[in-house]
Amino acid sequence: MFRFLLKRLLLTLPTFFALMFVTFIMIRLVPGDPIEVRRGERGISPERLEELRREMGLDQPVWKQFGDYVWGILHGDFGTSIISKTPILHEFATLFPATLELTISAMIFAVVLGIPAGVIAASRRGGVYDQSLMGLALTGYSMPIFWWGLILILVMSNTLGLTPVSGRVDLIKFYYEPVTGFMLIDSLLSGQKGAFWDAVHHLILPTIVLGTVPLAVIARMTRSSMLEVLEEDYVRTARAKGLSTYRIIGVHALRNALIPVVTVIGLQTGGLLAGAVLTETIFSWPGVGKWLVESIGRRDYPALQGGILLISAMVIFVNLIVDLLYGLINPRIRHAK
Amino acid sequence: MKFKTLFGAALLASTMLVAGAANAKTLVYCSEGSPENFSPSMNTTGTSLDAARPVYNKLVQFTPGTTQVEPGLAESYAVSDDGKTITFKLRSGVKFHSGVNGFTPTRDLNADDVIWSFERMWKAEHPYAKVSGGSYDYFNDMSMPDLLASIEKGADDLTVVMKLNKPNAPILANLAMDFATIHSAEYAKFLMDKGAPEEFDQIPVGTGSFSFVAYQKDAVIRYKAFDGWAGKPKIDDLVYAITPDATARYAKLQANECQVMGYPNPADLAAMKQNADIRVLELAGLNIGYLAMNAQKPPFDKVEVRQAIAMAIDRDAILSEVYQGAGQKAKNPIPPTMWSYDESTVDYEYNPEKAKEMLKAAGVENLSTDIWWMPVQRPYNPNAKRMAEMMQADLAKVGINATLVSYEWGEYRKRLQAGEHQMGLLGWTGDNGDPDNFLAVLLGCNSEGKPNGQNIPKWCDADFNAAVTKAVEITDQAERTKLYQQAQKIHHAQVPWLNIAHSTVFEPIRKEVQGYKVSPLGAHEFQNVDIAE
Amino acid sequence: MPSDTTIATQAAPPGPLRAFWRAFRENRGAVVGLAVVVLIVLIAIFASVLAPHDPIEQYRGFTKLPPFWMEGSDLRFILGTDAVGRDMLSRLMYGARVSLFIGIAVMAVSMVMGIALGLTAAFFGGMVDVVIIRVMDLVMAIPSLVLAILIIAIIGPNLTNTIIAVTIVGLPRYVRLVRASALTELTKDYVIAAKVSGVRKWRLMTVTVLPNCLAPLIVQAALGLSDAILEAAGLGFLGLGAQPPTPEWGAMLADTRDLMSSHPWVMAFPGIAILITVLAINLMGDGLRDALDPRLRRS
Repeated sequence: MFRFLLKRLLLTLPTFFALMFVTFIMIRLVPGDPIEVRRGERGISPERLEELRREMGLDQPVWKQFGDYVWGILHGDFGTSIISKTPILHEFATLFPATLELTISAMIFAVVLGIPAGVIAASRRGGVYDQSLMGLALTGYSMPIFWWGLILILVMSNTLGLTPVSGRVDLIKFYYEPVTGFMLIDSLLSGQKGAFWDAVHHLILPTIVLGTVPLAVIARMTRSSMLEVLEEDYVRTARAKGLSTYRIIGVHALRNALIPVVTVIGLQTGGLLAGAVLTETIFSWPGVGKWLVESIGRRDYPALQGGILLISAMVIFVNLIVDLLYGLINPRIRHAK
Repeated sequence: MKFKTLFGAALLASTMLVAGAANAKTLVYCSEGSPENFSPSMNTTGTSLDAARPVYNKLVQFTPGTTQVEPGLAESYAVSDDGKTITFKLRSGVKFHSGVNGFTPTRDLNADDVIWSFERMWKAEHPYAKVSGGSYDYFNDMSMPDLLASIEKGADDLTVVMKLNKPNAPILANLAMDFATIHSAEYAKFLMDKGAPEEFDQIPVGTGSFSFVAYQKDAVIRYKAFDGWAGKPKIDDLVYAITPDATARYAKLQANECQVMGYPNPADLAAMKQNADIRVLELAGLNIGYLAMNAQKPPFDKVEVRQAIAMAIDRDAILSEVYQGAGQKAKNPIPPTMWSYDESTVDYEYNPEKAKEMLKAAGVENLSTDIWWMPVQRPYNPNAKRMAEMMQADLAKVGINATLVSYEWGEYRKRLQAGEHQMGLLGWTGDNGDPDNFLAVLLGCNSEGKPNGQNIPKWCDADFNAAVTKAVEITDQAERTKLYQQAQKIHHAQVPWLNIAHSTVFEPIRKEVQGYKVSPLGAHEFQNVDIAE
Repeated sequence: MPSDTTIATQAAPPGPLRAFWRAFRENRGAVVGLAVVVLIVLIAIFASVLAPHDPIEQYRGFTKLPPFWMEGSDLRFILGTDAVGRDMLSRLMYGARVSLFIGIAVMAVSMVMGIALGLTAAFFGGMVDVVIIRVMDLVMAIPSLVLAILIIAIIGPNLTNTIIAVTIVGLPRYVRLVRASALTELTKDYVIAAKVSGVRKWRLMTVTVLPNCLAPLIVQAALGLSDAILEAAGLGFLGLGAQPPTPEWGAMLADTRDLMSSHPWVMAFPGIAILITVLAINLMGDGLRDALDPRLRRS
């Protein structure tokens, strides 16, 4: 197992390095300049611009900048944001928990609703439940989520007043410092009454919006995987022996049907970590996706580079965990090699 | 890790705060973005300046809600007859915040702090000059390096003498701007000894009415009241809830999750005014949104063509659909609230027929041109894209075919300054309430008759330039007013840019909020604010 | 992209069209989807005839009108008007043109490039394969929306560049699919037989193997079409897609975001248009997959 892990990790190294190089080049191809963009309508004189670029090391040849950058990363230094002048790792560390909390919550939402929906649809194949559930799933899958988010805000928050519009906590009623960065945990640690429910309350809408597509994908995947398993000989045998449908599904079929679903869950989680950009933008959620997009707008090269690298590392890490889980659920994979 | 200790200190401070704040009055301001850092000398964006303002003071300051200069940390000041020496007398017993980031001040404010603060921006050998990549934009923009001859301690510890190379009428207004914030030299030394000078710009210590508590990027900034020289504020805690989306800010205000919000959506104003829980404060903004016509590119070098375009564009429609009422049509390049505004100007009327004739007379037919629009929302232009689309349709009616052009914001302004456009939208928000800050900065030319960088129409007029150059060096306001009015008349006749609108600053607040004043300079200030029970 | 489509790597033998239609017809949803897609295509093609107004004509004084069933509407503008008084219905109709054009262009380019790169990787193996696969891995490692935004930041926002960006971001799926199908086919007897009988590589690639990889590719293309439309709309929403006054659905949404609480309907229609189009294409895509994949066809 350990060797398998190590091998996987080593395999990702060249990709990682290439990623570093490509993002570095791409970011420098973007027209515009971090100094110019900050200046708004005020502008800057060419002499002053040169001076500032020199101070920031932006006048160095690109290969030299790249060398310095790689050297820095090997020493655990991801650089410093041009805009806020704080270390990238620090910025990332303060924003990432928000993204992670939202992602986990969205995945729980998707899994808790998606798997049962898929199972029910499969067990009633062709029936009303199947058709309506799969119709809903396909609708969710086809949803432009930026629009979906706006509509939900409009209905749930603006019109009905059921959920907060944005942010992670009610700033007047509660005040606690981030310890873990996860509001659900920090609110409990704070010991303040109602803080936890307040945090949950703030999570509801973003969770639904971010979880919609994975929910649809998981439901569809569970259904088709389930149908396939139900066709297999051992299920037929079990059926022939007169076992009840529930028992067949619950005990025999589900476990096997879930194997491909786990992969999908992993892929989706990776996708969400990296792709919560639109959701974070709509809900003013202080996460890394929004930060990355804003960094493009601000031409904050180090933030963009470091952010993409770290996010990709997270995605690779999640995929690794998925592989491990896959091995655990399905012993055949582990023994095969 | 340095930041761990920083964080620990903040945590300690905050737990103490919570313990003592049973029935504390908290005011939440829904702000529009995260600050870059907390040192006003390095920032140019309103968002960053707003975030540092509660913590700091300046030698002189703008009276809240106006552009009048009043004493700040200097209780008095005197300008010599030649206008080249200014003597500031500092208040005595001014305390710095104590306990922030483990720093306890041992002395009150004195001349050293003032000199330290200016020299950081001015002298390259200053120990903090390069900290946080120091670029002191406003200091340079206001030509301070050229103006300043020296800043020295006067007769005693509480006297500062500032000498200038030449007289400058707006200097006191300039010193009331945020870049001229006074820092604690002792705190700077404390951090230098600790080996963490960059914390100076992240964890601010000042003399202001609120001391810094904590900041979480993209989420929240917290301050608590400080009983300093200006007296203890009426609210106990001040919170900035960072909420980039205007619709979300409004929803939070409705839910009383914040009590003051900045930058409302013009489209929402009607509903806000209907809401009994909300008061919408408004003030004519110190700004101008304009359409520059590049006078160096034919056919815009012809004044008739520029006038024709001024008549071809339906600005009333733009006012109602783009500003949605949150602005007034502009006829001069400076806003009406500014002294020297020329009331006598008769604005161009919307008259497409006449515009067509004038274009024909000028020999311009089937003109293909461009309109540039900035990709961002600005205080003087809530929706440049929509504005450009409307102008495009208006120009089509007089036979001009305009394509729309836009670039990323930094790139956009750079290309405009390089004069790549034919017609382009831009604007300006005043810094200090002086007409020089509009007319000379935005339309001035150098001694060789070349347009300055900020001169987007690339337009140089000898008479105009002579008037504004002369006006900055004399101190008599009546005399200056005459010169600036003359300049406005030339602008009207020549139309280097079409004045579109001065946007109105709207700030919705909860009805419980008392004493809040809208700033014409776009600042958000809370030292005099209270919340009714 | 539902990853369950990748299961369909073992393609059905190319049967006659009639058999396919029979299978496709069984799926009612798919038929409805197909009908809606055809309708939208017709609207897009005949937009200039069908649309009651010019999509970029601004009717000053008729701005932000509500749709016909609401108070204050004007029957000349059935679905109301936008912030500068352009007819919503006409803009939606022309918008179908833009969205479908983006989607089809992305799909076509991705198919061609996917087949070219995928087959090359599968047939030449070795370094060629490694390089292609590594590059594709690289593209997948960068968060897709961030990558698309970066690409557009470099080459500038317009319709063509939207197509380029969306294509690049989605390309790895096509390449991997073609490569995987081709590798499976390569181990089959008929290919080995062809190889042995001296069929040349080029012919082997294009004539022998390719047709047998087409089934999953067609399914991928249908789903890729809807993905491309969604992604392009997302870019338009961020202001990075088609430029004004082009009536692109995503950009229409973004343009009216400030009217969200005061005039919600202006925002509703473009979203509904996107949803219906994408949903119809996905329904059709599901039908295609069921019809082309024998394992899921009957039980």
